[in-house]
Amino acid sequence: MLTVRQQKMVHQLIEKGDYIRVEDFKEEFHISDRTVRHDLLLLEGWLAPFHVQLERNRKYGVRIVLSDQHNTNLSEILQKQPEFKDHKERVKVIKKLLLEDSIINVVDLQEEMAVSKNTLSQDIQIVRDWLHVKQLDLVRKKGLIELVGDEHGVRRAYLELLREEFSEQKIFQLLIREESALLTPWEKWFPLEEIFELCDVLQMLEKRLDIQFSDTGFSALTLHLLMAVQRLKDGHLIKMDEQLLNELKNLPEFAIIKDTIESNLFDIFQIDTPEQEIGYITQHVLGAQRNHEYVQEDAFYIKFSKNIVSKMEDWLHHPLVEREKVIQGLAIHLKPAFYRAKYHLQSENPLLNQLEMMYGPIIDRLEEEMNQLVSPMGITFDRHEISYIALHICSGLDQKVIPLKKRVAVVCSSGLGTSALLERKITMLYPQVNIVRKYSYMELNSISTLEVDLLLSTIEIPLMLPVPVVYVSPLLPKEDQKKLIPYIGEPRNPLQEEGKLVQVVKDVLTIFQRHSTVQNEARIRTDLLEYFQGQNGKQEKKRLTEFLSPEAILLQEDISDWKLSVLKGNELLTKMNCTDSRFGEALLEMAEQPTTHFVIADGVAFPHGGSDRHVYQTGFSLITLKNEIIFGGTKRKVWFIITLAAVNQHQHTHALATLIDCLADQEFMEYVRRADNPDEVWHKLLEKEAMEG
Amino acid sequence: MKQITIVCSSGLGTSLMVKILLSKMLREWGLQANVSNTDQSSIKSETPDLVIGAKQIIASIDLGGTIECIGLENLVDPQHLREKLQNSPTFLKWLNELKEGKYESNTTT
Repeated sequence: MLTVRQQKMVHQLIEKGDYIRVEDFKEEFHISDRTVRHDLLLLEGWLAPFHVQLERNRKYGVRIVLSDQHNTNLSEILQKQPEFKDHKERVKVIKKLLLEDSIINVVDLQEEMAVSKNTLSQDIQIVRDWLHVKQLDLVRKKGLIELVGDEHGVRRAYLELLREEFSEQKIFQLLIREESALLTPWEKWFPLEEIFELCDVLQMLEKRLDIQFSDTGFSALTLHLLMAVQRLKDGHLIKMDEQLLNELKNLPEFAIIKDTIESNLFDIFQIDTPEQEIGYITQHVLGAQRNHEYVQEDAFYIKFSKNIVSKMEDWLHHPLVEREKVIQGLAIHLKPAFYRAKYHLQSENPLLNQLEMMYGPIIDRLEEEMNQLVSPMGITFDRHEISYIALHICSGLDQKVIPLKKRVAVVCSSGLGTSALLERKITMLYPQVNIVRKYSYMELNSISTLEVDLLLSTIEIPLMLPVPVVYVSPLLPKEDQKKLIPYIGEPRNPLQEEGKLVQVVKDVLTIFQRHSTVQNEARIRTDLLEYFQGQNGKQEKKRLTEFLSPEAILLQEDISDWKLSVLKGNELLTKMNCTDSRFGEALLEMAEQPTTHFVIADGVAFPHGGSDRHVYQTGFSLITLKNEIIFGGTKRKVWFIITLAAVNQHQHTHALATLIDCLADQEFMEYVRRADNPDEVWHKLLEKEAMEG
Repeated sequence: MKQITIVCSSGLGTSLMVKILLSKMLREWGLQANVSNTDQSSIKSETPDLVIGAKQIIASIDLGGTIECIGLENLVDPQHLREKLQNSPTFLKWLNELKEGKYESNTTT
């Protein structure tokens, strides 16, 4: 969309039908060479879809040559412009016009806005209220409205208006030339080139002053310079208190700023910058926040900062963490803060409300202490500035990080099965997680972040939920574990953790032995290990299906060598992080001994062992064979091989009871003999457990 | 309290299974006894009233002949265990004591 000025230019070009000089545009609209060129470039693009060309001539300027057909087309389109602005947009434009020009003609304005007199009056009233808060007034006389108020108020209002339009983030994006930022309608306010030119000037200024502004400081200064340029272009008279100006002139920064700004603004915009404006810019430069790494220490502010930190420590009754760092950071913040307070440039802290809530008492205290110290210097820090300073103090508060357990919920549509498996997998792999509850599909509407941090689902959920959802397979393979890392972190490595615990247990035991006689070392060792594992007895209730996952069930295997079947059984346990391969060898050794009785019933072998280095957690695996084989030296035939690795003697009691029930249940055993689907067998086991209650 | 110890090679698999079966049966009969399971190397340091285990294990341990040891062929069949117990002199004595009200559950005799 074209700006009003650009529209006027098109109109003039069409009306004249001949060349218009760039100089003429410059004079008429009070804009720079650059801006004219920029406008023309934009017009060229705007005309292209109508197959209308903008012809340029070095000597004569530019012109548009139109056929009659073109002419009517264009005129129609131009008549439709300007497009109707909504109420917000209109208010913004009125504010801008007033702050830039001070006086506007109401009739012109009404025409430009294409609204009724009444609507315009309402808009003006809103602008009046807005100005009023800033101690500015609006006077109406003879079809004109005029802005009345002091220079400082006008500048403040203008900057605020700019900030509303251009958030800090937008400016950051613009400064790094981010594509999306370039598309925002800066044009209505300033041509992009002007903004970039001013950035270059600011960077030059940084170099000459040997400082580096923080991003925030830089963007604030950019806005300030844009305002200055705009107002100077409009021929505004810049006023500043004589005494203040003289004071500023005596600062070393003033001369450098004057030298840099004056020449550059003249080169770019052909404007003269009065000393008063240099004065204002100096204030802003001094008040702009700087980048920490590049700031030289300043004894006064270090001392002041130390003083404040000590006072706060006395009040808090404990020292701040990393005290020196806090003092350093605060000192750097304080220097521009002092200038901001002095020149009344303090700006709103968007975090104030949040900070008040979290650190209210600290801010109260700080406000009292700070202002007591600075009041002799004739300055006062406002609540916004104090809350920034409080941030530095708060960064030194000892914050113990309590590792909150993540609350995970699981979607369960069937009521059994998949979610139970998933739940078991999660608890096994992620001790840092609490499974808080299961949701049925229907209950999902009531899910809230108060209860749940993460929802896991095996089925698609087409609802918008307040809680993040991750889709996983109930078996939680490695790919799925990766998906969970951003939410609940890495799964634990049982081998590594076990190793650490064993060391701790060893150390504790050594301490015991130093002061007492330990009678049953092995038992204490086991009990301590269980205690540190958080399995202090309470896990005895763990079910068979919790120890035997579907992944550890192999059905209808074709194995003819019993030794291979034992090794295979352990392979499954190793896959479940329960054992390592050496455990399989240990089982074979045991099986060879005459006293070992791994065949516990007809057709059933139960290789088992544990409590040694090769067992990391309790687990079962199950293999059924297509054809019965002779097991070991027993001469007994088996087809059902259930392998157990146990970390102690009681954790798996409950699971064994279920196993016994199953082995005694002929119907069940006949079913398993024929079964070929591990998931199905696992579900059968689950059903049996459900019957046990 | 009467002490019944179930023994197996590791002390965590079959003996635990038998313990589960046995505890159930004792409850049925109303007999109170302390049932523990252990591995074959620890059995010598205990002084149980009755020892139960897989028959290979029972054959391999020597407790001096004063304590009755029951060897099982099938470790998961309740019926088998029940039969074995009903043929055990020690166990039958306890059942008789219980019938006559002489069964002392709280002292070791």
